[in-house]
Parts: sequence; C-alpha cells; structure tokens
Amino acid sequence: MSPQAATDRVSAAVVYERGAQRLHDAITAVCDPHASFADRVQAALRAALALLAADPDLARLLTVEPYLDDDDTFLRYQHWKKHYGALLRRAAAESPEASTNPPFVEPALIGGLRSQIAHRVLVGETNRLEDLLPGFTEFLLAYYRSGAPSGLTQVRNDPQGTRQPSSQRPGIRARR
Amino acid sequence: MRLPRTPNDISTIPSNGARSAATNGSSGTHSLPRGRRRTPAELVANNQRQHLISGVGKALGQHGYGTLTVARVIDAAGVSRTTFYEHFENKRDAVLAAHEDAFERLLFLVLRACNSQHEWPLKLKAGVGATLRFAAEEPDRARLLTLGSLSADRTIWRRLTASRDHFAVLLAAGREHRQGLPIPEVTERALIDGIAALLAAHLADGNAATFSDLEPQLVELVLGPYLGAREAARVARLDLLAGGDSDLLRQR
Repeated sequence: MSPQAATDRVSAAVVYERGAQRLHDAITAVCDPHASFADRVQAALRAALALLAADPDLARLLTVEPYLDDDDTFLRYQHWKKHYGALLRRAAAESPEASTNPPFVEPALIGGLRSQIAHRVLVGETNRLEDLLPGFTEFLLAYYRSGAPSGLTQVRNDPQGTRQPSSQRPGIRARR
Repeated sequence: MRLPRTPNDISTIPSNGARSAATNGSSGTHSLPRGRRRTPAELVANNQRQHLISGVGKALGQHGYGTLTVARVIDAAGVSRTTFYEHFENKRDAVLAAHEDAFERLLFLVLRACNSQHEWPLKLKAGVGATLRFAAEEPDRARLLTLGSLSADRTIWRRLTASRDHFAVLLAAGREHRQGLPIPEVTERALIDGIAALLAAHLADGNAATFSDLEPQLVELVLGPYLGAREAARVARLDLLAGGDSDLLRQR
C-alpha cells in the first residue's frame, strides 16, 4: 500500500469514528435510565433516525461506507455494533419487564436495522428515515417481550396502538 | 415497501442461462473429457462460463468488489481474457451472472430443504440449515449473496436486494403463525440482512467449520418474532427428521 493510500485509510477511519461518536452521543443523551425499557429503546431509535435523517452524509458514512472495502472502517463499524448490542443488553437487564436474549441476538438485530437504513440512503430517501421508527421499535421490542409474561405492552407514544399482551402469542400449531 | 410475490418453486425464478448451477451439484464446474472425441462447442462454452463464474466468487473473496478487476477474475478462473469477453461485457456483467448463479443455487437448496418438512417452523429450520451448509461448502458462491461491498455498484446492489427479498417472502409465510401481535413490515428484510451480515463476517474469517454451530442460533433468531423466544428456542433445539416429522412439534 502506498503512503498516500495508507494516509487516506487512516483519515477515513478517523472520520468514521467521529461520526460514530456523534451518533452515540445523540443516543445516550436521550436515554433516561429510569424510563421503561420500551421507552428507552424508542427514544434511542428516534434520536438516531432523526440525526441521520438530518445529515445524509453522516447517514451514508455510518451505514454504507463500512461495507465499501475499507477494512479499518469496517472493523470500527463492528466495534460500534457490539457496543450498541451491549447497551441494549444492559438496558434489558436493568428492566424487570424485559427478557434477555442469547448474546448473538443483539448484533444481528442491529446489523439488520443498519442495513434497512442503508437501503433508504442508497435509494435517496434519507429524509424519510424517521418513518422507520414504529417498525424498528416493534422489531426490537419483539425480542425482549417474548419471554416475559406481560411487561413490554406499555409503550408511551404508541399512536398505532399495535401492542397486545404477550399472553396472546400463539405457539406452534399442530398439524391437522 | 412491500415484498414481492412468493416464489413457490424455482421455476418462477428468472434465469439467464445459469439454471444448471442449481441442479448440477455443488461445484458448478466440470472437467471436460479428454481424448479424440470432440467436445461440443456449447459444452465448452458452458464450462468456461462456469469457471468464470466460480472465478468471480474466488476473486471477490480475495479482493472485495472495489478492487476486483477482470485480470483478477480470469486469473482465478484460469481462462484467457479473450474468453472472458466472449461471455461477459465487463466486471459488473460477470458479477451479476455469478450472483444469479449463486442465488439460484441457494434458492434451490433452501426450497428443497423446506419441502422436506411439513410445519412452517421446521421448514424454516431446514432452510436455515441448508443455507449454512451452502455457505460452508460453497463459500465463493455464498460471498456473492452476502458481501457488503457489492453495494458499491448500484445495479448489483439492486439485484442483491431483489434476491434477498425472495428469501424475505419465504420468511413472511410465518406471519400466519402470529395470531396476536402484528409483525412490523421491516421484520423479514431486517432478519435476512442481519443473517447475511453474520454469514459475511464468518466467511471473512474463513472458518467454514463454525457454520453448523450457528444453526440453532439463527433458527432462534428468525423464529423469535413469529413464535416468541421460548418457542423459538425450543424449535431451534429440535433434531429434524428426514421427511418432516411434525410430531416433534407436539413435544412441549
């Protein structure tokens, strides 16, 4: 690798790191440790989507660029993905209403959400990222609701009223 | 964004001639017979094409998409530059063909595995197992379906997205098992993309032996939104029997 290429890679990684820190600060600023798990998840997602929607370059940097052949940036993305997974796990552990998941779940969920954001960015719909909030919230909470008998049915600001008690969840239907 | 209609069998999947990849066994390439008997030109051409397609996957694994070149593809394929251009216009054209070949192969394997079971959760479990075996046994093809750097090219990225949507549709069949809570629209795509990212990371590590270890985890992950964590974990631990024994599901 030429010195210039090496410098460019370092610069790209530094830029990525700064952007990732901005997102992290935005998310942690709105997370009230005394709020319910569902509200914390929703607040974090809302803050993240709002920040990325307001700054398309940042959205592209954090969701698309890590996959474009720069190993350093990709490794940093993986680091942050694990970090957010750990935050999610910790928030769930602190909440009596939330169940816990095996450790592989959170990174996969966060990776899936990143990909959906990247999709919007790539089709030029970064300004519509906040539309993803209800779906993202429900998608994540489903994994923490499942093992609990009730709990995560109370999310404030749930305009669609989509939540129902977990007791209504079906098991596998036997073959007729 | 709505998912496309469900592909019920592989005959509904568009083909540009790479259909043989789905049915010709795992490697997709063959050694031509030696001796005086002349080999039909079409067979030679198909063989060369398969070598090139295989070469695309190998070269992608080594270099990623951004630094992939025709020279690297023909080097990995062991064919001449002239041969490359007899089959493909450029690097993107070759990658698109290789992607379609990989997609058809995986879809064939997944549908075959799913059809060996009767109940949707077990179909899904079988499909996940088939996907992991595919990734372990055919990593070059698997890369063509999971490699994130392919999104650098808008045309390839669209094709990648469309192929993942086919698998998302298969997954969405589980919605009828969810009688209480509605499942957000983003679920299937997020799960498929999450799995693809996970497989890409394992492929990058180059440790094929660990793929089978992922099966219970992925089954639990994917079934979770539809069946709930407890039931998903239980199904993930079940052993599948050939022919699909749904009595297993009654063991609570």
